[in-house]
Amino acid sequence: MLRRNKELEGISAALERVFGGEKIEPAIALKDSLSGKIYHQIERISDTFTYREEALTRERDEIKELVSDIAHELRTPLTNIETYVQLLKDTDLTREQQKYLQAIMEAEQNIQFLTESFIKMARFEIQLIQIKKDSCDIESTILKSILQVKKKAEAKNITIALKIQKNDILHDKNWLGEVIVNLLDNSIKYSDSDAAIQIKAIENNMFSEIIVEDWGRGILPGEENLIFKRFYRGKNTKDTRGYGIGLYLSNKIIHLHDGFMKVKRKSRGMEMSIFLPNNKT
Amino acid sequence: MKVIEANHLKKEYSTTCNTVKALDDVSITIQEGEFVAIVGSSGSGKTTLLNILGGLDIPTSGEVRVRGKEINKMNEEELTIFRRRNIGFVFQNYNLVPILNVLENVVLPLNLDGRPVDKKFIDKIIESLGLQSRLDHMPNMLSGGQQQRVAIARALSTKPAVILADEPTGNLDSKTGIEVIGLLKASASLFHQTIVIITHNEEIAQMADRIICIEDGRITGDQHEKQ
Repeated sequence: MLRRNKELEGISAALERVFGGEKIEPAIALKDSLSGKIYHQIERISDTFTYREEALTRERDEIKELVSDIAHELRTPLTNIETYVQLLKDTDLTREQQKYLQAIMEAEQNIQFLTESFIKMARFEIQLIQIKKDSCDIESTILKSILQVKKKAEAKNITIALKIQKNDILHDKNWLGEVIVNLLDNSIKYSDSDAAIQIKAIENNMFSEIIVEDWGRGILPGEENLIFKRFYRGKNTKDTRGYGIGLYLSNKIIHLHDGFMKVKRKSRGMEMSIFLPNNKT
Repeated sequence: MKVIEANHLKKEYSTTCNTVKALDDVSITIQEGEFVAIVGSSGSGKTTLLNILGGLDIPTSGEVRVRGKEINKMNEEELTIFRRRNIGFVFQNYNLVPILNVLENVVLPLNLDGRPVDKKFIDKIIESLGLQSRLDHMPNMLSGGQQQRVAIARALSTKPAVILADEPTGNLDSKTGIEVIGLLKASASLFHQTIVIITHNEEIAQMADRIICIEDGRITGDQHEKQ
């Protein structure tokens, strides 16, 4: 009876491991008993499981790589278009021809942006991109991001205020910088001229929080979680250009930092928060 | 895959002179991996609904299936075992066992079920909830946010089909509440967990993939997000 129980416990433990997606080690001695047979069957299930999962993962990654490759292959012809369009621009053109050329240039830039985004998205999903938490100086990362959007902000006479209450936040300076640029870019895009944007870095209980606050167009009630979905565009954004990629990618980058993002609608504008884990002490 | 399927749930409480309908023909389906928030004012029936979905309460009529099994046909003993193996609960007041330390609280449901403790898995949960430095602390040494994270770790430890949480942030200040839900969401996606929470905090509900509104025992809104 005692031996029986022990065998059953062994089987339960093996099943638990299969369930957890782990490989189980083959039975040491082949026993010609019912429990021996069951153990063998579990091994078979485990093998089938592993095999199918591997096949699925492989297939999925191949598709994503394909997307990335296609996008990558588009880069060269796009650069060619850009060059020739530039050359064409320098020639004598009628007004009408200039208008058409301008349209081509804009379309080309859109394709270029989409291509780069697809490459990034695909690379994130096949985990080709690794987050390296290589900086603790959030102020410098934010300042660099502000510098990148300075031109756009100045064009609309938008002021950006920065308030650092907590500087020591571990992050990947390139990728987090990209997220902040993205948020600032959105805020500038959806704010009126002469508006203000505020960035804060504060420390909470478990997370540090980086907040980008604006007084722009904001989002509609009920869109708080939707705006992070791939290709979702806010109902308020219809007359501006965009693809619904920026926040999706940003959210992914923050996830890889073991953090999360959250938006808060205000009566005017919104508050976008990035939560990053506090440094372990 | 459907994790929970409830059809035409009714729950009535009768007194001598009148009948109160706590739930009035509620049907919902929850898919695997969804993170659902149920919102409604107090007395709207949201806790009754959650308790019925989790087999803590019995509907007057209608059926509930969890992972395809009809739970209201089970007897008390079957139901207890079924709950322990398939459903994780998180309560507003944490309900940790005061004489057990953090680690002991987390693995308690496994010990109750006589299941082997999968050390690697438990370590992963504890790390994802940031509890590694508190394993030997007693519950009364922890802040509310920390206690609730222990309760979440405990709910995750059995790898349940679904975690049901009734006002999990009710006793926490609003920032801590948001952070706890952020962690819950992150661990849910890490462990492919289905989660249903009740909340009356709008900001917290907005963090869910799907918001179900309930008023006077009826579903008045279901912002359904296709996966």
